[in-house]
Amino acid sequence: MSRMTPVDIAVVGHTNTGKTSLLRTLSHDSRFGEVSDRPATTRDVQGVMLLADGEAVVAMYDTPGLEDAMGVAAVLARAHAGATDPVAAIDAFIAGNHGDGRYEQEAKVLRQVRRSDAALYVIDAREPVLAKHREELRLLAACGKPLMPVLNFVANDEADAETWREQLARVGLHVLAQFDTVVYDAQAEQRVFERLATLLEHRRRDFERLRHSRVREREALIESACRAVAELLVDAAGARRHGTLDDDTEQVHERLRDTIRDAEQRCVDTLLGLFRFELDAYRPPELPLQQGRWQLDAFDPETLRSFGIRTGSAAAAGGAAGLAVDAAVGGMSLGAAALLGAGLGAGWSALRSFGQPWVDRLRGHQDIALEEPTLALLAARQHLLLAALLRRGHASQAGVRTDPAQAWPDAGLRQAVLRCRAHPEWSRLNGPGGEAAPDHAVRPVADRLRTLLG
Amino acid sequence: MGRRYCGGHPPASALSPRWRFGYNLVMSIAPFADRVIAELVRIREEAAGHPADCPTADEAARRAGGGLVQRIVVRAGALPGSDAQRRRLRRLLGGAAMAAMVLAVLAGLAGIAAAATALGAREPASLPLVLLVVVGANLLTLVLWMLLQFPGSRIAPGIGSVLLALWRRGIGRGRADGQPPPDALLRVLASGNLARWSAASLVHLAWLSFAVGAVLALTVLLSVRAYALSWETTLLDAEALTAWARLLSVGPALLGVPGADRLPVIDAGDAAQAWSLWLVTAAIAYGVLPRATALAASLAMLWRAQRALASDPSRPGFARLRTRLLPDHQALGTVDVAPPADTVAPRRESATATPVLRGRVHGLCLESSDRGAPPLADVDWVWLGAVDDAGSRESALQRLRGERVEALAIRVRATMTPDRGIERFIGELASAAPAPATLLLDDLDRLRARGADVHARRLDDWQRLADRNGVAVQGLEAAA
Repeated sequence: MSRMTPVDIAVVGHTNTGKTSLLRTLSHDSRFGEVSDRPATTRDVQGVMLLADGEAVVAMYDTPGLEDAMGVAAVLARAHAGATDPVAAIDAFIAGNHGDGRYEQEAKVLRQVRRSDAALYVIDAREPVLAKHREELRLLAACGKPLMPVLNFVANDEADAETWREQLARVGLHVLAQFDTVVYDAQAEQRVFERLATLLEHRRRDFERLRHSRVREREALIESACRAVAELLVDAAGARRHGTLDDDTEQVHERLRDTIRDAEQRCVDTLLGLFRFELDAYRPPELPLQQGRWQLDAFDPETLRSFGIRTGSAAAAGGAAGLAVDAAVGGMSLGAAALLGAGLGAGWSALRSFGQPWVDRLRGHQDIALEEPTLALLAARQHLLLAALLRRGHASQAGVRTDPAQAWPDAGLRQAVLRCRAHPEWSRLNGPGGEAAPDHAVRPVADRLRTLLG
Repeated sequence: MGRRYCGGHPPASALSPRWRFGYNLVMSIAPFADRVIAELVRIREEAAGHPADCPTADEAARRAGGGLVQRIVVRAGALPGSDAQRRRLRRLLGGAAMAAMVLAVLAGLAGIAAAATALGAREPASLPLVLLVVVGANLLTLVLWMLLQFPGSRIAPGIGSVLLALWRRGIGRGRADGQPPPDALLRVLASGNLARWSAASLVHLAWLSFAVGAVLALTVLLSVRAYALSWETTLLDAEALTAWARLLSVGPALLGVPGADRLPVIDAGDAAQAWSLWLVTAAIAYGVLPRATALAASLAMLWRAQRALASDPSRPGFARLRTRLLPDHQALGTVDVAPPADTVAPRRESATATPVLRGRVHGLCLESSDRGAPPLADVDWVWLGAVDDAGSRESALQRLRGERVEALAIRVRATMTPDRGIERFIGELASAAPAPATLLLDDLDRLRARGADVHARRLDDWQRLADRNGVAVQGLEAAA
């Protein structure tokens, strides 16, 4: 089959209804066009191509606002009174002098609609249905192209979507979409393409491709975000710092803390980098960060308290001995099938972990690892950030917190992370590390996070 | 840090179509090296916290097309410094192949020597002893290796991590934290399953060539020399010996060679030829075949492990490249340019002072349902009602032209965008009534609810519109 040309969609509407915002949302490009709450911000027609897996599928065109449809209608009525074909009248208007140039802007809109396969008519749902809107719809209908209304600002209290729906039905527009260009909603985005496919049945395949690629991309985004957090937790759980017994213990602790601080910041940077588009394009979600950083230090007792973690010491980093017990506890939860393997593994780890401090002692070394409260804090904070980025908010988070005293977002996550404490070889933070922890270490943590985030 | 180095490698796009084809071909026949390099780049960029910025490499990846993984690999290959890594990798792999060959030859020689020694040590040669020397150690290490595979990496952390642990103990300890790793390339090759299965393949290869050498030596020696063969024992009785011989004959029997079930065990010398065939077959069955199978399995696993290299686009370091390499949109630019700035509407005299609305005032309500006359003190309203569509507009204008108008008040919603259409009509109203006109802004509280900056800008827009048309502006809530 020969490559079809992309579907052309004109985005039209009254001035200042959010046409450019809609295009920013649909194209995931926060730098597209210019947006303000004043009239006629967009004065020329700009296009953006939506790609599915790198291939051009849908071209969308942002048009200036229709500001004086009544004026255009008057010109049309005067110049083409009695014309039987409304489309011919529109074409004549586009080709003419546009009411001595007064309706240049409107002519651009109509020209783009005539060139496109369909048009999206963007509506500010906070506005009442007025004569000018009806006039605009009449003009657009006369262009002879499928027209789909998109109700914008539906999340606003003032929005009256029902009245709009009813009024649009009266002029024969039954297929419409709701959208809010201020609050990102991946589902609403899907619905716009779905409805467009209904309108342009012969191009359904293109819209389906676009929809599916968008779903896959979002899935991939969430997947890698969870993975980034999981890698941080595995790294932190296995992090060790060595020192000789003559070294100042506090210095060794501080070295470990610095490493963890850096690792946490890298994880935050990665998450913000991954969610870049959503952060740029919308009213940014309420992130628990300030200027891309956590304001409170992970090792500040105050921070621990704010996450509901009660701990006796402020050190939050301690000797590595005894971590194998965590591994054994973690191993127990893996299910009967893995019990034998886990038991062996835990035994092996116990041997190494209990043995290592004595060997170290004999050799004059001390081995420092993170204490559980710090791991809990790291997990809780990154989970909070992820939830905010996914706009799941505090409400759902409170629902999944099983052990508030420990601050772990979830008992399963706690077990999955604590299992990694006995595996310093999984951590990238030890020595000349660099390669990520093996999949079987990261996967359980990432999966648990994924489940938590729904 | 990337930009500094950027630009060394020609992107595929810069090449002519014929060369681009060649470029793509080279890309596709060296996938392993490319994936290793992609993995290296990921590790480097994850450690740096952000991907290197190299537009030419990004462009090359986008041109190459394909899925995200393929684009990531192409980008990594097009990054500056990748060529040097590729050459190093080629040298390393060449060296490794050479080492493997030397190992195989040495092991083969050892196999020949072992077989020859066992066979020629004394007369008559003991069949179990020869078999033990030729396949015993081989089989024992194979069984041990297989046992190690079962509990997975929990009990056998894998050769790679052992090497790495040694590396850390030796070189890693004492290094300042955060320094660049000494050799990322070696660590990629020595990490995880790649090292595990290549080490396994190497060991199997060595034992296989030992076994093959032994079989060859046995075949040659048994072909060209006469050996007396026997089943010998000191400790076992005749029955146990026969049982052992039967057990060991299972392998050759499966290959169609008769053993203890048909040949005499006690007087083995009488069937020396048949027993020598049995010996060679047993060496194949217990030495060559198991190792060959294990080698094939290890090579298959090695193939899988190298396929898995840089194949997971959900790795955070890879995922961050998606917007660059596999964008979901592309700007088309301006397709219909705006005309030069609007012709400025003829500016009418601006109302010098805000007239106070009192006495007889004509009033109307624009673009909303009729909200009635606002309750203003001292105003005797002549209310024209709501004006929206063309018909009501026309009749309002008619009335204003026909009646004696002392003052005109136009009630509008402040939340409405002051567009050209409404401006044109306000202009028409103002000219229809030769009297001071005032815009009454309604719904100011709703406007304020949308934010202070929105509120200020919108009021400013109304004020400008009013100024252009010589109309005064008054907020309704203050007056009411």
